[in-house]
Amino acid sequence: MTIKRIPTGILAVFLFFLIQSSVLKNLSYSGAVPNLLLILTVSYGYLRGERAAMWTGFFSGLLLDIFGMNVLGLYALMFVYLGYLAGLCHSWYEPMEFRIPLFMILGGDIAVLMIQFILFFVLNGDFGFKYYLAGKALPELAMTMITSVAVYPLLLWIEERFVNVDPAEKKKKEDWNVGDLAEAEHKEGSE
Amino acid sequence: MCPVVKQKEERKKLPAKYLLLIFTVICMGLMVFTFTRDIPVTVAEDAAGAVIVPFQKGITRAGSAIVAFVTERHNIEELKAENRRLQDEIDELGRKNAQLLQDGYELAELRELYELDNSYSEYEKTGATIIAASAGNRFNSFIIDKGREDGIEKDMNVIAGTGLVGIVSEVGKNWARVNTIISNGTNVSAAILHNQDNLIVSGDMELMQQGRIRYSQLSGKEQNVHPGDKIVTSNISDKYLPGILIGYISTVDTDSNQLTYSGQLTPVVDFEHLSYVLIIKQKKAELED
Repeated sequence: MTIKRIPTGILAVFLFFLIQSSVLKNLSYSGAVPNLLLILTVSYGYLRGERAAMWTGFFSGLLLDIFGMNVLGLYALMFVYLGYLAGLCHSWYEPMEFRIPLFMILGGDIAVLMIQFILFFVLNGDFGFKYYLAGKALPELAMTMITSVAVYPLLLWIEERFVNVDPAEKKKKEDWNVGDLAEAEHKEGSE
Repeated sequence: MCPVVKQKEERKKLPAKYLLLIFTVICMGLMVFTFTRDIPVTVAEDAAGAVIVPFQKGITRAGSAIVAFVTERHNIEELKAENRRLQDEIDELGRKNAQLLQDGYELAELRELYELDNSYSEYEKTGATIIAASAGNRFNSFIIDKGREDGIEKDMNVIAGTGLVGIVSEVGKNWARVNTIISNGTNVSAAILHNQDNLIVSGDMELMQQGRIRYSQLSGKEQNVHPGDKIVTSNISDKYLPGILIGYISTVDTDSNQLTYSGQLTPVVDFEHLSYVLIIKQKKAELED
């Protein structure tokens, strides 16, 4: 792991929260704001693995909790699990593969929206699912997906261009792979 | 990725499963702690406020500047079109003369409203700008740029223009969160202005799309209630100051018990386009002391 990952991660959480809470608020009167922090958490799960995604998810969720909820920890918990689950797909990581992260963002957003519906509507005795679906959930889902098509490649580009460029690590990795191959060949040969 | 490399890396660090467990425990603990103790985790909130709020203020200021610039440019083009339209409107003015009687009726109402405004203009108020909407898409709470340092406290009433917006629900060092009366689960004890019949105003985000919210448990006689009647906060509320205008009755329905009435009302505040609010520094609890 290169040391650049942590500062870029912190910066990304910070910027995405600001954009989500303040910038897009001014632009969108209809109320549909893409869930940028969810995109970030899931993307990092795919790009960096579950450990990094859990940290990202925890701090993203905590920010949402602090500025939006009476009880702290709810969004943090949701986003930590989201990051963990997304991180499980990290082993399939392939720079040009866009479908896997986009599907994960779709699934993650659906899950979060459903949990929101249960916690904020059903437990308040409001079962207006149709209204919630048409008025809130679908617009947000659509916005999130449209945004993620632009944001995920951006994150990927930053990751490939600036973060994963530590030459020592790259070289080390290559050496390892070469070593393994040699070892495996050696084993095969001895059998 | 080669499995051998992965193993080597993970040997040094905590396995992800345990990290997940730790995060789960932390989050659960936070939830239980903040839920049962009902005290804000001030350290975390102040730290977040110190870092985030200055940027939110900057963004809001820049955003309003851009909007002002764009609307000004837009306005010049619009003014020409409007000029033509105004010529047509002059003809219409004759017809509008007939409405003067109606206006006279409204004047009486507005005078009454003015007296109402005076009743809470005596309290000390402070203005604040909305710098962020809360999480999610519902505009049911928002963050303002004033906090503990500016003398804001929990449960202070928030108004915009002449109408009730909501109540301060959380206060940080330099920010505070306002919960609006239109959000689901919010109930405000209110009364009809002219006869002081009590009722409960409940937030409803679904109805709010049509610009309305709900009221219920209105007692009194049906002939005393008419669409257009003003609803104000009542004396018996424990958090809201009395006499703040909430809105006007739109519909009246008889409940199944034939004793109380419920229906919809139109709030006076335009919740879609809020950007500046006033916080009344006088709290109801202190008023009673």
